[in-house]
Amino acid sequence: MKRFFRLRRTDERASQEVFTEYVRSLEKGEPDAGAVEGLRQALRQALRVELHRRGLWTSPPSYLGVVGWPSWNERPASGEDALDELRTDAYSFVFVDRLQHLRRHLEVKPNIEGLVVLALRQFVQERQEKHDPLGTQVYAVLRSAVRDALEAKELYLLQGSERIGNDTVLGFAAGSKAEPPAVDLRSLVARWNGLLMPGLVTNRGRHQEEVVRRLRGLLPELRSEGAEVFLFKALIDPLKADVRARWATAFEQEGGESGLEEGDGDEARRVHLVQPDLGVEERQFLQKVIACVLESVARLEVNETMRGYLYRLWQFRRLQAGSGDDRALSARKLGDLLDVPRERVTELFRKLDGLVDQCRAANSGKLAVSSFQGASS
Amino acid sequence: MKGSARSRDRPPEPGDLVFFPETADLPIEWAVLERDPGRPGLVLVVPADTNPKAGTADVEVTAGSAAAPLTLRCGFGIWIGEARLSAARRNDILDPQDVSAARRVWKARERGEPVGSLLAEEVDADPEYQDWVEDVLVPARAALMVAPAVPIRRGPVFFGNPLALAASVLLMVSLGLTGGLFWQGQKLEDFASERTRTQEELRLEREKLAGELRQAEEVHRRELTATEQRAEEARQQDRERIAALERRLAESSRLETFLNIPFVGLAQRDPTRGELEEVKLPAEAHLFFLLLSMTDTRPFPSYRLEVASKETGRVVWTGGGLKASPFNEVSLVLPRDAFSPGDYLLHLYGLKNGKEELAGEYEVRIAHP
Repeated sequence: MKRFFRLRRTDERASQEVFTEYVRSLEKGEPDAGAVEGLRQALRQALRVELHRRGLWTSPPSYLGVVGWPSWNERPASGEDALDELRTDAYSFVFVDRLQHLRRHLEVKPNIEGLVVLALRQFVQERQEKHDPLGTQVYAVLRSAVRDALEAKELYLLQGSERIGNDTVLGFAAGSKAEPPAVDLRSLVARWNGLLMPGLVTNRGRHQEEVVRRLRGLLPELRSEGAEVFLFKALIDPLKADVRARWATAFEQEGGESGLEEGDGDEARRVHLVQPDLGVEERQFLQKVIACVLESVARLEVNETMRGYLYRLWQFRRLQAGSGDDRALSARKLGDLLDVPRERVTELFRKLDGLVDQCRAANSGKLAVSSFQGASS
Repeated sequence: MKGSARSRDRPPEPGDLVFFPETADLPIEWAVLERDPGRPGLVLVVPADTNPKAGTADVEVTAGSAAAPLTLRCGFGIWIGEARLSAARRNDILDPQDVSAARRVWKARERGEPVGSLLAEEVDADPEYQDWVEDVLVPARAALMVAPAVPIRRGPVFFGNPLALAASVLLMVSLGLTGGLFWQGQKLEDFASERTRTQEELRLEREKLAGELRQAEEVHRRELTATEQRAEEARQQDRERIAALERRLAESSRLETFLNIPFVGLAQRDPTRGELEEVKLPAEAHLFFLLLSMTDTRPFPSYRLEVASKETGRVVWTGGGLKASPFNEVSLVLPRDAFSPGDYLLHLYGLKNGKEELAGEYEVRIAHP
């Protein structure tokens, strides 16, 4: 049995227990400057390792919600860089929100180094899901498709982690040499996305199974591209890039067309999901509202086609909120992107707005969702 | 910490958060939910952790409570003998409403009722969540089910002082000699008690598994019924569609429909060519004739055509079973309505031995005058 999260201590590591010592020092009062500096360095290092592990080090920091930096390597004269900004939020996630939890564990365990590393992984994962929802969803679908194919012996694990990550080498024949050739898969995945979108990014939960099954059915086409053996990263990277490009193109080509509220004057309303990096309370409230709208759409007395349109538009809203893009798309663009008849988009959004208002009222609390009048561009 | 307010000497009770030694190396705690009124001596415990992902069987502790953020994993609860709580270390207290919420989820699951929101279903399907279940929650439950309870103690330092070690050994031998018989008798009683408890837990586990099997069978039966119903609906839709198509075929078989049918002849795409060839499909033409000339002379038993929008990449039409003519052309008739005005990319694939190979690529601009 794999135990990825077993927490162990060795005497050699005892001197490096920076996180444990920091939490202990908090018990005694204000930690000294040396402990704080040690923690800052250790957090930076742990985050750097985690970003490398997830293949995020070469991606823009905006994928984790750190904006204004072209790369993680950029270090201005002032000294503070993107990693410092991420570290500030990570500190809050681990040593403020979870401090009681760490203390409880420290009462019965010799150290909490593993717990802190685990919390940092969860922090980065949560940030990635929130700020790069497209990439995260594509990864989830492809990983599930690959795992299903492995189980059905349509694919074989040749090298790397069984969890399926960037370093995993896969092949169509057991025992093949784990030496993937350099193959350009961009045109192939573009064709796949033509078949799989928009469901690839909007189908979640029970609906996700269908798109996972379809993607799994396309995987054997890699053989005709000369990819009998391939690195998971060589497939996931162009797949994500193509989805992001389609998404970006839809927005960039906008211009000269009316937005959703075309012809609706001041009566048109649009609900805007505000999703900054939230505290526990706001996050729980936002999740309740999102869940409530999903349930409401599932229960609405409409035919399945209409329910599908509403579902896709709602998932679009969530994705758009996550990616931080506040621009409104025209009904034509949205219709093309989500496979929804353009003439129905305004009416469908009005329906969704009504549901959001009801859900917000039903889960009354601190506002994380706000509606506003007529803002369409 | 709230837990400090209560005496740590008293045994854990429902509402407490505890650590068990068997799972001390996992990043979890256990929440004691309730005693079983029907079976005295048993308590229900569920794992709890701070992973933010919450699936359908999970209850997130209310934000603002002392134990938050914490998620109670009600799908991995287990009934244990209450005596085992004496080996656990109590850490904190949960708010009563969170304990009640977790009990409700546990009981609903026991009855086989669906729990959780559609949003939580998304988490169930999340591979990161599935990893957490596999790596942490399943081993935690298994460890608590099989392992005997051993009290948690802070790690003592052995062998630090040789004189202290020698004195300890001497003391232990003396105590062992004088108290050996008494200890043995007591130990036998403990073993008997532990055995009875373990047998009871195994019996409960068997009952639980049998219950789960019955629930699974019931769910399966319901799914079968629903699937049959959906299949019948699909068959009905197919029948209606066939009838509609037959009506349309009857209408389109009138001679005048085939008069003046637009002809679209396309040559292989030339990447150096400038403007696309535009084809105007008048409104009165329901169909148009498409002829594709191939420069690829490889013989294929059959071909498949795929037409995609150049703008979105979305496939708008695909069909197979095409045969090449002696002039190395394929031809087909397509419905005008399937092609809204715009630019299209056509891929013709040759099929041989179950494999597809690109045999031709074409471009066309459709206009509806």
